[in-house]
Amino acid sequence: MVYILQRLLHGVFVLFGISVVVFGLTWLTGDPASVLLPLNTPPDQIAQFRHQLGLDQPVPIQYLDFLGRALHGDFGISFRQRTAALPLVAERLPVTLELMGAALLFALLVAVPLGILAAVFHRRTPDLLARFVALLGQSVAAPWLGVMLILLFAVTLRWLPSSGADKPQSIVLPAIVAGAYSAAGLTRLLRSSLLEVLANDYMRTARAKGLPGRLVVMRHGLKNAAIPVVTFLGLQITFLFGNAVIAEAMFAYPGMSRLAVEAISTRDMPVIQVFVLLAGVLVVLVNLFADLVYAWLDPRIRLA
Amino acid sequence: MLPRLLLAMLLVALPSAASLPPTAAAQTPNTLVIDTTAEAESLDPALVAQASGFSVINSIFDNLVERDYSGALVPMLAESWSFPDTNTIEFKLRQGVTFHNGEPFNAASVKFSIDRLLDPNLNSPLRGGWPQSWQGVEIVDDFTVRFHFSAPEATIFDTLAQSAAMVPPVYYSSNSEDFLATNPVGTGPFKFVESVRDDHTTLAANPSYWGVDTYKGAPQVATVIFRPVPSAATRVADLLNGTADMIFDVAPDDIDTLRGRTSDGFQVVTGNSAKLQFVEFMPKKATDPLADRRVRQALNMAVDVDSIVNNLFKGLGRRQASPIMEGALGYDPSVSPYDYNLTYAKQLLADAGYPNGFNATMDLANSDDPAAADAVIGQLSQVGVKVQSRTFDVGTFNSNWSQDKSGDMRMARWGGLQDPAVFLNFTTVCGGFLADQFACDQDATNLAKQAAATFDLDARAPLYSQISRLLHDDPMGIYMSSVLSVYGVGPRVQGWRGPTGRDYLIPTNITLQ
Repeated sequence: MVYILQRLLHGVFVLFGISVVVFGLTWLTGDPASVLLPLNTPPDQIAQFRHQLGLDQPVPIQYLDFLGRALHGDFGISFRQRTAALPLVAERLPVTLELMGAALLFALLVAVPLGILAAVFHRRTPDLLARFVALLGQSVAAPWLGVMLILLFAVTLRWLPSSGADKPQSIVLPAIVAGAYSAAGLTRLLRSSLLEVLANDYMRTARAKGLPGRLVVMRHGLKNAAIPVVTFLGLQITFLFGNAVIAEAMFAYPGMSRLAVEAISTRDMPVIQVFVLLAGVLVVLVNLFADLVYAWLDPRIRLA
Repeated sequence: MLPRLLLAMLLVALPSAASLPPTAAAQTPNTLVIDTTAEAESLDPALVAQASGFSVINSIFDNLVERDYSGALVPMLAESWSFPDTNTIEFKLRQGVTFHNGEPFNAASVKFSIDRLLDPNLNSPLRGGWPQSWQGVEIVDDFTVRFHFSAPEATIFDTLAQSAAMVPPVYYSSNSEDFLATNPVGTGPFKFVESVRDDHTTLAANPSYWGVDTYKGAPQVATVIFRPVPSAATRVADLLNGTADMIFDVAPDDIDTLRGRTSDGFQVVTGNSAKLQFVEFMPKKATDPLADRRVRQALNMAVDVDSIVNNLFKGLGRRQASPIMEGALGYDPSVSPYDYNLTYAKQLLADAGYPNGFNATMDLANSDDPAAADAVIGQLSQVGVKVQSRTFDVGTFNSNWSQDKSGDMRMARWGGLQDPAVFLNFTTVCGGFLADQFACDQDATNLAKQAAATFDLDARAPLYSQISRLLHDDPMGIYMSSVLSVYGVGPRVQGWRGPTGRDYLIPTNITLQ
C-alpha cells in the first residue's frame, strides 16, 4: 500500500514536470495567432485576438494561470475549436485506449505463440521463421505497413475497411499497425527469456519427473519467462501510443491523437496540454500496474 | 506439437478473415459519402476560416453574394445591388426565404449576421478580412439594407462571398456559443443532421431549398456524409473500395492510378481554385540583387516552369504571366509568360552586375511539397544564382512574411485570386503588409489603389489588366502556375458540376446510380 502511494506521488511529480516542459516547448514554437488568423488580419485585430486568449501576458504568468485553473479541473478553451479542452480530448480517450488495447492483444497473439515456438524449436525452422518475422516487424515503418495493409486487405481483397471506426472490424488494421512493432519486440524477448528459463535445472527436474513436454513449457517455463515480458509491456505503452497516433491518422480513426496532431499544427495550447497530461497519466498508471504484476509474479520482488 | 499448434493458429486466423463481409462500400442508396482532408474547426460559420471546413459550411449556409462555378460573383440571398453614393451599397434581398428552423430571412437577419460576425466578443478569425472603412448595416425596409463605408472598398464583395454566412437571429442569439458550434442552422441546400468529431458530419437534403435556380442548384441526394480522412493514400483506397464516392486532394502520384480505372467509372476532376504558386522576391535593401528589375526578370526566364508543371505537378496547373491570373477579374491573355531562356537570363544578370550570379535564401512552408522548390533552386543554379532553402512550419512561415524577417525569396501560394484586390493590397503594392518596398512597382501600386476604391466590377477590370502588364514587366516574384484542386470521383456519382472556386465542393446536382 505504501509502495503504491509512493509511486502515485512520484507520478504527480512526473506530470508536473511534463506540464512545465510542454508549456515551454509549445511557446518556443511561436504565436498561435499566426496560425489561427488569416494572413490578411490587421495588427490591431491580431492584438485583440491575443488579448482575448490571454496570449499577451508574460509566459510565466500564463503558466501559473494555467496551473491554477488546471488544479480546479479547468484546462481552458481550445483556441481552434472554441470549446472546453478537457472534454474535447477526454471524450476521445476511450477510442484511443481501445485501439491500444487491441494493438496489445494483437502483439500478444503474435508474440506468445511465435516466441514459444522459437524457443522450443531453437535454431530450427520455426525459430528462424519467428526471428525473421520479428526482424521484419521491428524494421518496417508503421506508415508503410499501413499503406500495404490497406492495399491488400481494403482495396484488393476488401475484407476490411480502409478508414473510419463505424464497423466492429474497423479496428483490425489500425491495431495491427499500432501493435506490429511491439509484437516483434515481444517475440524476441519471450524467445530469449524462455530459452534462458528452459536451460535451468528445475526444468530438467520437471522433465525428469515425467511431466509431458507441453506442460513443462507452459506451466513452469512460461510463468518464469513472463517476468521480463511484463516489464517490457509496461515500457511498450509509449510505443503503442506513438504508433496509435500514426494508425489513427492513417485510418481516419477518431481517437484523441488525431486531435493532438491537429492541435500541434495550429498551436492549440490548451488541447496540447490536456493531451500530454492524459498521456502522462496513462504511462504512469500502466507502469505502476506493471510493477504490481511483476511483484505478484515473483513474490521475492518487493520495494526495498 | 508443432503441427497441432500451427493448425490451431490457422483455425483461429482463417474463419475470422473469411467471415468478414465485403466492405459495405458506401453503397447505401441515396447517401453520398465524401472524404475531406480535415474537419471544420467549428460548425459556427463565423468561426470557420480554414478551407477544409468550407464544404460543410457552404452546404448549410448561403451568403448575400457568392462565386459560381466559373468564379463570377452572382446574387444569392441578395437579389441585386446598387450604389446610392460612392460610399454606400444598397442590397435588395430575396423574399420568401426561410431558415431551416422556420425563421424568415429578411433585413434584420442580414444586420444580425454581420454585426455578430464583427462582434469583438465573438472574436471571429474572419473579422480581419473586413474592410477598415466599414461603418455598418442600415435596415431600410424588410428587404432592403444599406452597407455604409467611410471610403469605397471593392473587396467587400469578395468578403461577402467568402465569409458572411446568413444566420437566423433568434436561434443564434438565444443559444450558447458551445451549442451553436455543433448545431448550425442556415438557409442552404442541406440541413445539419449530426456530427461526430473527427469521424463524420451528416447533412440531409433541404427539400424546400429556395435556391434551386441559382448556381448551387438542387440537393438531389437525400443524405451527404463528410468524413475527415487526413491520409491521401487512405482517401484513394476509400474511393477505390467504395467507402467514399468523392475524395478531396488526390496526390499527384495517385492520379495515374485513378486514371487507369476510368473504365470502371472512376474520374479525376480538377478545379481552378484561382490559386497561384509563385516565388515572392523579398530584397532587404536597395543594393540587393533582387532589388534590380533586370535580375527579377532574369530569374523568371531561368526557371522552366512548364517542365515543372508537366513533370512534378503531372500537368495539373498552367503557367501564369502575372498575379492577375486566368479566371481573375481583368485577366489579359495577351500578357504572356516569360520564355525559358538561359542565355538571355545570363545576359540580364551580367547587365545588372551579376555575371556570376549571387547567393540568396528561400523560405518554404513545411506544408508544401518541397519538390517544386528544389526544382526552382536547381534551375536557378544554372545561371549562377545559388539559393539556400529554409523550411519552417506554416505558422512560422506566415509570421515571417515581412521584409525584415523573411529570406530573400519565399515559395508561396495564394488563393482566392478571382478578385485580385486583396492579394495586391497585401503582397504587391508598395507599403503592403506583406510586400517588399524594394521589389514593388509604384505605377502598379497607384492603379491597384484606384481599383480597390471602385465598387463597379466593370470599371475595375481594365485597371487590373493594366496592372497585369506592369507586374509582368516588373515582376514581384517568379510567377509559376495555377494550383488546381484535384478531386477523385467514384462510379456512382452523376451530374456533379465540379468544384467551386475556393477548394471546396457543394454536393448539389448530384444523383447516385
